[in-house]
Amino acid sequence: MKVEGLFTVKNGNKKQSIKNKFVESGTEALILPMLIIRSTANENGYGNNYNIEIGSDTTTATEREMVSLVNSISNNPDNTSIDVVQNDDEYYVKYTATWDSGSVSGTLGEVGINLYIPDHTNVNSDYNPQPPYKIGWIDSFVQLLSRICEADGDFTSFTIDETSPLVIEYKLSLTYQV
Amino acid sequence: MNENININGYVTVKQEDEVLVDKAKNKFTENMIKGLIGCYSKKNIYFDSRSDIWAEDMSIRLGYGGLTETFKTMTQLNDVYDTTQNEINFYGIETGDWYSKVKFTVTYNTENLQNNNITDVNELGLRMRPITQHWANPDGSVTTSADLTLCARICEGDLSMTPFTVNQSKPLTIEWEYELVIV
Repeated sequence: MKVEGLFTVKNGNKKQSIKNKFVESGTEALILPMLIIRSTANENGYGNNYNIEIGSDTTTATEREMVSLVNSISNNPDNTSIDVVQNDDEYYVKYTATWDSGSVSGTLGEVGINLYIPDHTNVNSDYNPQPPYKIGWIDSFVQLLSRICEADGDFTSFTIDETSPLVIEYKLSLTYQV
Repeated sequence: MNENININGYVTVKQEDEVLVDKAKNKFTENMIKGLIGCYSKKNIYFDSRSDIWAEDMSIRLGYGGLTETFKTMTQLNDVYDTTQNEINFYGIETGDWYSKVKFTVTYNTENLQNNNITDVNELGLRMRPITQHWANPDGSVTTSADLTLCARICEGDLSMTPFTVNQSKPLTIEWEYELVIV
């Protein structure tokens, strides 16, 4: 199956949809659930405390070891939502973050999404047999999954129009392939 | 680069040194896809007491109805031998340069093969408990065990394998491996 991530950025008269670049820390979690046999406590989904983050860096390309944005604009969004959707052979989860007019300002040069996913360095085992339980939900914390930025040529940085809301959607999709 | 991820499953079947199926590429079912993407939703996986999920009671089943092609809403093999493996091993995550792997291996012993008269095989299926409850209630908690269902399959009808006849005097070993590659 094919996995893709797509950011859509809306602000004023601007609207751009841009494919992300994945980083290492978040991707392994895609197949980790297969190893879990049981939940015996309150376990949060990967979307718990998710955060779509914006930053002003315009010169640093995305690297696989990256764990955070380069120069984050710290304002948290005013509203967030999450949903799961099926559209024919495409199955996706959609995260939406909205900053109200005037609540964020500056140059937008990078965007990332952080999810509540396991510590991949802790579950790595060099392919040795593992106790088949609770793997994947241990030591979870908020980590960067993917990023778009001007330095990668994904989009041209712009000054946020404070008279309009800034809305960023992130769609993580799995596509059924015949 | 790094814009897509491909997840593929590969199946190898052996009887001692004889390879009966060599890294056949599986087809996924809808429940597998829903289960994986469902992990990315917001709410709790479980609340307050035991829930069986994903790999609990998992099995790799053998069947003889493999002329029927795999379709995404399939929940069981077409014609399945009424038995499961005698032994199962889970393997953890292997991480390399832009890939990760998860692997399961199972063994059917000779007594099992003989008692259930397992002979001709042209479909194999991986049964697990993917968490699909989020699709009915994405913002709610999952508080019950997930149902066992078909997650992936190889079969003659998909041209992913050639039918084989089991030698009941030798144990049958199946390896099902998932590979995640960032491209």
